[in-house]
Amino acid sequence: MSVVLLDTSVASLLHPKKRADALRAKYEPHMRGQTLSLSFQSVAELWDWAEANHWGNKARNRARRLYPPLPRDSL
Amino acid sequence: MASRKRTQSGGKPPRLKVTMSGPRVGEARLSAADLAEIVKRTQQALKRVGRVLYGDDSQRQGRDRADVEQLCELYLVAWQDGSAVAQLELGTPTAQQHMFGYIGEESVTSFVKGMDRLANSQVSASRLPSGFDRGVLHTCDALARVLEHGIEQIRFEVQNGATTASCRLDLSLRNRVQELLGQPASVSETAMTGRLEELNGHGGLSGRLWEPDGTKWVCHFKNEHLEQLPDVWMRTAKVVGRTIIEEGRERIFEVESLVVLGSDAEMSASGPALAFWTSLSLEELAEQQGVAPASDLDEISSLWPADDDADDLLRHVLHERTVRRTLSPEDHAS
Repeated sequence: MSVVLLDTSVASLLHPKKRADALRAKYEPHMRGQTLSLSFQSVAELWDWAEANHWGNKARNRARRLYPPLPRDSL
Repeated sequence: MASRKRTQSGGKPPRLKVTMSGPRVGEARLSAADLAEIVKRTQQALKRVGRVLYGDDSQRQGRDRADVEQLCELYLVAWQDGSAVAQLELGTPTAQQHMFGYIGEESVTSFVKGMDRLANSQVSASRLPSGFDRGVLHTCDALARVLEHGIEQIRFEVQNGATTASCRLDLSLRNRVQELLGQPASVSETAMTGRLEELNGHGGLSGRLWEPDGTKWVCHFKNEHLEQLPDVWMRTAKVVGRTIIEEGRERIFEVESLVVLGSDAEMSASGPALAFWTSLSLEELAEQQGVAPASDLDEISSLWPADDDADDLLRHVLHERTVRRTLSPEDHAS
């Protein structure tokens, strides 16, 4: 087991609509069973997307299980 | 009518000398907010020690015993020149209160000796020093929060007749307190680590805690945890208590104590040198944040909003990156 750092584009392959994506299939063996991590920049980009799309509390709460929230004053 | 001050030793009432030191502490100069917090928490600790000495649970619900409350009340009686040293004294007991013994004096002495034992002896959660229980440990942990911003240590000295005792609250002792708070106190208790979400204060304090493997627990907290909960919400925490598992129902965790992981103090577990500017390896960060290996990628995918579009997300990210690259330094400054 090791820690794998995902770029935002690779992290986006974990999206449910990408389950059957050929690119995801190539990355899956490198992610499965590993501890997945994101850089703070990716976390910021993912929250920026949530902001841009006006995600509600339910979606945000689920997202917080994927990646940590940013400090309150930055949102 | 003022009552005459009587003490167990028959002499002067015990004084608690509190000395603060650290980069944010000047000679006889200390933030009023920090001083107020230190005195408030110390007084709260003494009252809780008093309740335990009285035979009560320090975190029990309901009204506090008025006599213990009054006998453990602290008053600032002197501020020593030349360093940040506060001298505190107990409130004056009434003649009637002497029938309850000398709880105030015993509390001060037990608090200082107990803290010293925590720092220097092998103490377990099931065998805490006299006058200590989890409630007292929670208060000591809260008191130690002032160590997060420029106070390196707080030294407590008590002189009660011929008895003298002293202890030093620093990051090392705070780590020890948090370690004890994370230990089960009996075989019926268990400890678990997870992320605490969805706090609810309606009809009792409850919340949902997700373990790294996705196991969900409905946590029931005590009223005394109320102050801590805002700090724990949406963070990884270690909880200790009892589990209730019934078929067809949500898993329940009756929380006895909780510790926030990932706080400044926790990050300094191996010493004060590990401050925020110190780099941690990804493995250390993962351990600290309670992140487990991803065994089921589909389970991770299921957390993403189903109506979201991954390609739009990537387009948005790339667009934002392009915009940032074209910004001039003046744009950044504004």
